[in-house]
Amino acid sequence: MRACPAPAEDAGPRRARRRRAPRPHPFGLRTRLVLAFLLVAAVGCGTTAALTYRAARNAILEQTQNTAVSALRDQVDPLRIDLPVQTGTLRDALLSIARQGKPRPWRVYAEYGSLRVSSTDRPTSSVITPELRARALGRGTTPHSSFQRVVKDGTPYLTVAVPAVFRTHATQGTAQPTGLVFYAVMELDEEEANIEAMVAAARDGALPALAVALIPALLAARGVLRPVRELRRAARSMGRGRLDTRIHAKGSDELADLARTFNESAAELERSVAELRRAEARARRFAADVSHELRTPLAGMLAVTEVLDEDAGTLDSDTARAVRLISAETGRLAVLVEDLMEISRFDARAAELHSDEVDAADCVRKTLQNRHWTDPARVVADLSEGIRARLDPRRFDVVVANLVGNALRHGGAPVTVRVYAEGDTLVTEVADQGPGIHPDVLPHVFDRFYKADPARTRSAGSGLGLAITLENVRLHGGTVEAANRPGGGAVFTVRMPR
Amino acid sequence: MPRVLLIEDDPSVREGVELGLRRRGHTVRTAPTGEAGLAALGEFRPDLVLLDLMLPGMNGVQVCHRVRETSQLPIIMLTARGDDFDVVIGLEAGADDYIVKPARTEVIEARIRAVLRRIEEPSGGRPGIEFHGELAIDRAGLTVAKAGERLALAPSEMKLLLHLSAAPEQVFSRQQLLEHVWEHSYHGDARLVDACVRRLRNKIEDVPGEPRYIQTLRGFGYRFGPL
Amino acid sequence: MTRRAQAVAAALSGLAALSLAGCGIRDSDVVEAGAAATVAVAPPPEFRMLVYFLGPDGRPMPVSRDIARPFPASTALPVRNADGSLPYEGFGTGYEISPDTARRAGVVTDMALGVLLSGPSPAEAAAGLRTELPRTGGRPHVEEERTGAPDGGRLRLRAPFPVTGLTPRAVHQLVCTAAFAEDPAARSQVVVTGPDGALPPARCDGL
Repeated sequence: MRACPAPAEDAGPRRARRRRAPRPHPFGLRTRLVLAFLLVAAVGCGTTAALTYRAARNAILEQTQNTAVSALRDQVDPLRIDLPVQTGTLRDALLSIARQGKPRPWRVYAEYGSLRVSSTDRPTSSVITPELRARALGRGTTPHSSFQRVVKDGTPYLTVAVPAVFRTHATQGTAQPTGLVFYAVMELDEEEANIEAMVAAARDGALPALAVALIPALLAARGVLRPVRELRRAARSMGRGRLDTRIHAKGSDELADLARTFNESAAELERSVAELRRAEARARRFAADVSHELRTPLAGMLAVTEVLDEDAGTLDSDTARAVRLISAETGRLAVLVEDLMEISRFDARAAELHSDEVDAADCVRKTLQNRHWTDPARVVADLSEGIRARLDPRRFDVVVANLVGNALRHGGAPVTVRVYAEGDTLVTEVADQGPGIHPDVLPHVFDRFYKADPARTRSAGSGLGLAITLENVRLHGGTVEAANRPGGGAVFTVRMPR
Repeated sequence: MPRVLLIEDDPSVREGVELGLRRRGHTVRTAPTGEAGLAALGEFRPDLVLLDLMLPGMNGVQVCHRVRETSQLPIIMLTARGDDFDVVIGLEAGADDYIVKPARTEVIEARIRAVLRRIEEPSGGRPGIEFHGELAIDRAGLTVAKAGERLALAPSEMKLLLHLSAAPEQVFSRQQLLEHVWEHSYHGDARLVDACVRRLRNKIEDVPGEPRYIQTLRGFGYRFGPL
Repeated sequence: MTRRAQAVAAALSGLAALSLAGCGIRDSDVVEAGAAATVAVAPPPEFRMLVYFLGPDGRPMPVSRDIARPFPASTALPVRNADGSLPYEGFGTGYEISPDTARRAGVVTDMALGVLLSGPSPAEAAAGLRTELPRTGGRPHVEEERTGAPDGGRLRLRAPFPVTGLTPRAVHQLVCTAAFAEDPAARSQVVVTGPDGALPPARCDGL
C-alpha cells in the first residue's frame, strides 16, 4: 500500500530532526585550535629551550674541556725528564700536577712504553680509551693534545691526554715525541648537575608557558568560534523561517566577510521570499476577490433559476434548451464559487473549526441521508456505533460527502464507508469498486483542479472537492491518504484525533 | 401566504429573490436600505423580514436591533459565507436564522416556512399553561411569563424554550436542536443554537451566567432543568 | 586526519623528540685540543745523544745519553769555559774538545751507534724498550759524504752486519740515531751499507 506523501505528515519529523541540539564535537574547531596553539607553543618552547640548552651545555663543557687541556699542558710544560723516564721523579711530578687540577680536581696518569705511573694507587684508569691513547701517541704525525668525554656507569668523565715532546736542539730541530703521555681524568658530575639544573629550569619554564599559552588559545578559539556559533544560530533561525535574521558583522577578517556574505544572502533571500509571498498573496486575494464579486450576481441569478426551469416548458425547444442550460450552469457556477471561497479561506487561514462532540456514526449516516445516498447497491455503510468524537460536524460532513461523491463519480459502486476507532483516532474509510487510481495520479489526487485525464476538460465536480477535503482534515489535525486496494478499487482513509 | 419584507441593496439579488418568492405566492415588498426597510415596516406589516447584513448606511445588525426594540417579528439574515463574524453579531442581535447567498429560492422559502411554523405539540390535550419554577409557559397561546410578567421572545427563542421544556431534563444535542427547532440539516451551524440559548437565558434566567432553566451539559448539549 | 596533517604531526613530534634528546652529558669522540706539551729532556741537546729504540708497540722511542760520559769523567765541578766549551781535563786548556767538534768528527755518531747496537739498558728494558737490530760485537762506522746539498749532508753508515734483511723499524733505528747524532735537526740523508750491500738513502722523518 503506497502512502500518499502528505506534506503535513513528514514535515514534522524533519523539523524535529533539524531542531535537535548540536552534537558535541570531540575534535571540533575549539579542540583543534587549542591543540594547535598548544602544539605550536610546545614546539616553540621546546625548540628554544633545547637550542638554548645545547648552546649552554656546549659552552659549559667547552670551557671545562679547554681549561682542563691547557691546565694539564701548562703543568707538563715545565717538566724536565730523563729518557728513559725515571719512575720516581715522574711520580713526584704527577703528584704535584694532581694537586693543580683545573677547573676541578683530577687524577693524572703517565704512560711511557710499558711504564704506568699515576697520582693514585691504581697505575692506570679504565676510562682512558685506546682511541685516546692512539691519538695521543700520534703515529706518523706530530702528537697533539686531545680530550674525550666518557660516560662510565652513569658518571661522565673528561679524559685529557697531553703527550710530551721535546726539542732536539735549543734553536733548531723539530719537536720529537718522547713517548711519554700524560693523562688527566676529571669527573664531570658538577657540569652534569649544572646541565640537569638547566634542563629542569627549561622544563619548569615550559610547563607554565604552556599553561599560559592555553589562555590565548582559548581566547583565540572563542574569537573564532563565537562568529561560527552565531552563524550556526543564524542559519538555524533562517531555516526555521525567520528570514530577517542577521549577524552582527564587525572587523575585516574572513569570518566577518563570511558574516557579511551571509547577511547579504539572507537579505536577498528575504527579498525574494517576500516578493514570492506578495505574489502568492496577490494571487490568492485575487481568487478570493473574484469569487466574492461573482457571488452577488450569482445570488440574483440562482434565485431565478426556478423561474427559468418552470417556464422552459412553455418556450420553443431551442429557447427552452438554452434556458435550461443557463439554469444548470448557474447552479454549477454557484457550487464552484462556493468552493473557491472555501479554499480561499483556508489559504487565508481564516477557516475556523467549530467543534462539537458528536456521535461519528450518526454524523456519517446523516450525511448519507441528506445526499440521498441510501441505496445499498450504491453506498454501503459499515459504521461502528457509539464512537464519540470531537469534530466540526459541518466540515466532517463536507469531508465524507466529498469522498463518497468522488468515489461514486470516478470509482465504481458500491462504495463502502467504514467508520471505526483506532485508539484515540477516528478512522473513516471510503472505498470503491472502480479501477483504482493510476500510480502517476496518486500523488496528485488532492491537488486543486487536478485533471487525471487531460482530455477531460471539466470534471463533474468543481475540481476542488478533494483539496477542500484535505484542508478540512488538516484543520482537524488529521491526515487523509489515497491508495489502491490489493483487490482493486481506490480507498481513501481519513484519520482524525477524536 | 406570508408577507415578506426584503431589505437588500444589490438590485439583482433584490429583484431575483423578489421574483422567485413572488412566483411561489409570497407577497414581497423590497427596500434598498435599512432606513427604507424600517420605514416600510409600519405600513407593509410583514410576517417576516429578509435582511441583508451588508447594507449601505445603517447596516443589517443595526436594523435587527431596531426591529427587536419594538417587535418579535421573525428575522432571517441574508449573508455571504465567510462573513462569519457578522453572522454571530446578527444572531446575537436577535435574528432567528440566516441564509447564505447565493441560495436557490426553494432554500429561501424552506427557511421562511421553518421560521414561521408553529412548534408542534408533542401530544394534544395538554393543559394550557405549564409552570416551571417562576416560568409560566402557555403552549396554546404561545406566551411565556416569568413571575407573572410576560416575556417578549423571538420566534426562535420561543420555539427553543417550548422544545426543551416539553421534555424536561432530557438532553438535546445541538445538532438535534438544529434539526427540530430550525429544521436545518444535522450538520448545520451550531452557533444558531448557542446564540439563541444566550438570548433566551438573558430573558428568563435570574443570573444568565448560572442558568437554572436552560442548562448546559458540556460535550452533549442542552436540557431544561432540573429545577 | 589528512595526510598533510599527519606529516606535519610527524615532523613536529620528530622535532620535539630531537629537542628533548641529548639531555645530559654524553660520550664523545676523541677531540684534538692544541699542541702537545714541550718538556725539557736532560741533558741539554749539546751534551746528549739520542738513541732510538722501539717501544712495546713498535713505535720509535728515543733515549737520551750524556755524550760526555764516554770521555774521561771530570774530577772537578764541570766549569764551563767562557765560550761554553767544556774544559778537557785530560789535556788541559787548549786541548778542550767541544761536543760539536766531537760530533763533527763522527765520534758521537759512532758512539751513539755503538750504544744503539748494544741494546736497551736494564732500566730501558724495564720500561718496555727493545731493539730490532742484531747484537754484534763490531761497531758501525759513519762517513760523511760532502755533497754540498743545503739540507745537510749524506752519511754513509757502514754496518758490520748484513743490512738487506733488516726490518724497516730496525733501519729507522739506525737512520734516526745516526742523523740525530750528526745534527740536532736530523737533516742528513743516511745510506746504510753492510757487507751484503747498501740500502736506499733515508731520512729520519717518522715511521
